[in-house]
Amino acid sequence: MSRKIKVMALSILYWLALVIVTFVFLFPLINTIMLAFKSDIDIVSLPPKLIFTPVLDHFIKAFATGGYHFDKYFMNSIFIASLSTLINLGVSITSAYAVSRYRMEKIMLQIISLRFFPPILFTIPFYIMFSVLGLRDTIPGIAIAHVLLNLPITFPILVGMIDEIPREVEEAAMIDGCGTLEVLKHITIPLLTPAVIAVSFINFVFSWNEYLIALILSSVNATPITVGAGLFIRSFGVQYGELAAVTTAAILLPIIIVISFKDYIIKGLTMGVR
Amino acid sequence: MKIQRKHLLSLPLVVFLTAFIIFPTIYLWYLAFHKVTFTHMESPTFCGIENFIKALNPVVDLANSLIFSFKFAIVATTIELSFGLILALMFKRDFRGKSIFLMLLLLPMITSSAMFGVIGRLLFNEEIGTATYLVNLFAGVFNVHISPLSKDWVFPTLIFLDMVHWVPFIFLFIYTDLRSLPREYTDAALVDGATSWVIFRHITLPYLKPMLGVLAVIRFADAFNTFDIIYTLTGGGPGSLTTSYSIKVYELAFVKGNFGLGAAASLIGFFTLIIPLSLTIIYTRRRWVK
Repeated sequence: MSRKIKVMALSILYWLALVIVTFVFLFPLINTIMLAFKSDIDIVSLPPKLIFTPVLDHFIKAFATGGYHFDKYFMNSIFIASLSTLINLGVSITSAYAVSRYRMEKIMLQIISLRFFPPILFTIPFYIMFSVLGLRDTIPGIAIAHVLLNLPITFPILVGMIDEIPREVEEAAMIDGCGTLEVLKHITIPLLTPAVIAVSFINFVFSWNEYLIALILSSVNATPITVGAGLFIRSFGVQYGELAAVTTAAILLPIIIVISFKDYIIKGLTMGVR
Repeated sequence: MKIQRKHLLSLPLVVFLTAFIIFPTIYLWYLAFHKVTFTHMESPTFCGIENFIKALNPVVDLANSLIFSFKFAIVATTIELSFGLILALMFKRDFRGKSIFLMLLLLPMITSSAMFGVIGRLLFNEEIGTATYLVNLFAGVFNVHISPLSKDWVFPTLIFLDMVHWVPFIFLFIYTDLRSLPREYTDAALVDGATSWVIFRHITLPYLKPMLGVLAVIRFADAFNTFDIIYTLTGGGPGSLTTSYSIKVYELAFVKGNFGLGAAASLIGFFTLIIPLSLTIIYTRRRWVK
């Protein structure tokens, strides 16, 4: 009997430890989301209020009436992330297939080694190159730059997932008279759908979250929400509520995407490091 | 026939990489040896290694930011790998609500690094920061006042924030690797009467070693190159206390507008990271193979 109680007490303690750890990790996010819904008076009150009447003032001010253009920044982020996902897939699908099937280790190695290049290395040549090409401060420009940052992560995932598709299926189709492109179209791409979904969401989220390249390549027209939120610190003075509201908006979309497609994304991500 | 096909299929990637990686890399070296500033972007003049000499000049203070980046990378990597490992071991056994805990723990990982700096600004704010309030509630007992973003405390604060942001990532990989450890190993050891410490030391840890090595290298390189979270939290300050290598290059090139100097500084920083890192990889690999 006492042994049973001991085991139970232990597992409760264990559980409690996990709850505390998880809470510490989530606290910064919870704090920000709470600030976004607090009224200005509640924000500055000490000790910090846990229970308060939520208000939408800060969101309305940041996204509509305050003259801050965060509605535009939000849409810019959506366009940049979507476009960079499309470009990434267009550039990498056929190539990932070739790398997987014809074992082109060299290309693979080069792409993985890109992972160790600091993004700051590319900012200076990109700034000048994109200025000359007329791509600076445009949505396609930032989208292209994001693809380069994401390729070292998404490309190995795609290759790894293509590796998992048995060759025999393709060979059977070839024997029946399909060409490589037809095999790709009718057999490989349909089988690849989970991989494409995983890579798309990973690219979307990473591009949405990116800051440095977007900060350098945008000035007025193509500013995404992460850079916009940073502007709040420097240019618009101390407005904690609005800053929290914008940050909440910037972090919520990736969280929603990852929660909805958790299995695809975790499978893809953990594949990338191998 | 086959050779043509494989080249055709990989053509989009090769073209893309040539245009946006190989060309910019060459261009970066070109810039590093030329006088190029924000106002004279079109007419670079060759200046030899002047930019490199200038970058190493104490006035530019590149050395200090490199030292900061190394310090930050060593501390962050050590702490984050240890915590990630502990957390993964906690999740080894099954318990109620595990999948919910797992998902909640992954949320900081998918939050933008830049936004994490902003989140830290709100959390550790001198006037409204909840964490500042809680920390001082505790520190008040000892009659001290802690300002988390002041020069004495900014480094621990930064490490704490970076930890919250990155431990979930480390944890996820160690956890998935841990789950592929065959049960027979630990079961056999248990039958032989091994304690859980012995099992950890002689079975789990050696099994995880390759993954821990890969994660350490990736995390170290990323931490060394950190820009976002530091820039949005402190802007490199107070003073230039938290100016990392990337922030330094950003300041030189985009705040002061000296592209040539920035290019030289970014190359110096890249090689100070990559040379010790690759030597470490080669050395440990040789030892592991033995």
